[in-house]
Amino acid sequence: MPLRILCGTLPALRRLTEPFIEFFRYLPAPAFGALAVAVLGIEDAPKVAIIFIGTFFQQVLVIANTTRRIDPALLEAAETLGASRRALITKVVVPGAITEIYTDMRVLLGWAWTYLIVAELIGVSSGITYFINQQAKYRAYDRVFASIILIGLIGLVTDLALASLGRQIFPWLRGARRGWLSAAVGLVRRRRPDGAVSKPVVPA
Amino acid sequence: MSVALSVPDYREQAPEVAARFAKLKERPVILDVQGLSKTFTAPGRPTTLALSDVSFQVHRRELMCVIGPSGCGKSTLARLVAGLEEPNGGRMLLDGKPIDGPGSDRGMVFQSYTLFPWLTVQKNVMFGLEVGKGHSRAEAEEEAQLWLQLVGLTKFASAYPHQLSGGMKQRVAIARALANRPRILLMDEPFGALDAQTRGQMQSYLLQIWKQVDITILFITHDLDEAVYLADRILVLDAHPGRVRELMEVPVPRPRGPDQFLSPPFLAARHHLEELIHPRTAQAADTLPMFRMTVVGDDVE
Repeated sequence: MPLRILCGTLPALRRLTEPFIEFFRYLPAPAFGALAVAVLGIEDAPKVAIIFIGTFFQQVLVIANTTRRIDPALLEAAETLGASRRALITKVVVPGAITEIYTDMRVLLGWAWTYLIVAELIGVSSGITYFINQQAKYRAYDRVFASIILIGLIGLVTDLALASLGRQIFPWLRGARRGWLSAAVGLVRRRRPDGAVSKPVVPA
Repeated sequence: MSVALSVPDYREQAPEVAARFAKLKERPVILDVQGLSKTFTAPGRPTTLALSDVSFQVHRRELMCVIGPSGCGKSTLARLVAGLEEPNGGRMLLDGKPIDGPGSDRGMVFQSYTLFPWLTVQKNVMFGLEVGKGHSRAEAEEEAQLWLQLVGLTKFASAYPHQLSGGMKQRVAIARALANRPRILLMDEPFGALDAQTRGQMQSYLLQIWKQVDITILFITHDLDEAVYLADRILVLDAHPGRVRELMEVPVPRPRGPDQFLSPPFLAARHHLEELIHPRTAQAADTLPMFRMTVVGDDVE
């Protein structure tokens, strides 16, 4: 996260890193599957690696962009109150952007969730994706649908939990925003097709 | 307009007003601006000269208003003194020392509410004390409570900015700027976004605060009444480029009150500003090139 905030505040660092990040961002994480297993073995490590590759580079750009959107008048006000450059970042940029970053993280959780499902396809004999795969082979589609809905529900519940947690951590937003339900519904809608993406991967 | 023509000369000062100005000019100079100029260059556009050779002096505990037509660079002037912009020429001295970059010796209140939304009212006031001046938390808390009391917002110390009205937000902003004990308070159209009634209230608050606190104020505004009501002296700027037109002494005696708005010295000062800023020849030229779109005889005026 510090890297991302710095990318948003220091244009030089941004120009240095963003081309690389843009490049990595477009590499589809599942493509690293076989490589990850070869390098990291068959335990949890390759799955973590896939989720990391899938979300990290998106995060850097999204958060850098969020950080850049902070109201410049707040920075100027802090400067006239005697804040140093360092204090500007720690006392104004970070707290000013943190709620938006938190929202970004919730959106990115959806991505992480997708990559988790993908990662589960690699060399496993248990887990929900394995179950979906198996049941699809048996043509027990009712169970497949049940699993997909379950994935969606878990996502929804975590997201709602995070949303209400967010209102606890950031009391200055309490009452200011009320749209969490529709936001959550939106996220779930996005996630369902994601869950379905794993289907074509299944060898027919 | 015809009423204003019968008012006395704005240069006529009652003896007590003249004595006040004599005393004021004996006080030490806080802000000394000498030959200040500022140009803006944007790619693809011609260079604009925002301020050209602006010089004036503000004495200790003076309330000076800066007024002028839009585009005269009055906001730029405040930002230059605050150190948020770099001048292209000239010098600015605060207590005889050149100004270099933003600092806590010059407080600023902006037109847009610039309270930190993630901090409570009290923490907002403590910001400059803790971050800028390095006071301990307990010291800062005590100071902040004092300043909140001064602006009458003790009850709202633990509220967040989004729970406050516009006028209250600006009072917190004033308390936050004053808590640093700056040598000069720069106010860039601080009441411009408020409704007329709240603005009048804030003006009288500001005069009360100014009376109680050892503070020099440079107040940017485009509201002629506001300038005459608040100021000791008014710096009138011309537009394109921003140049000092006149440094006018306001003949209205203190203490000021809303009942003075119709007093002869007030009207005289206001009329003079009107002449300076909106000359009647320019107004005549501003008539829109309209053609009639109603039936002949269907008149409203």
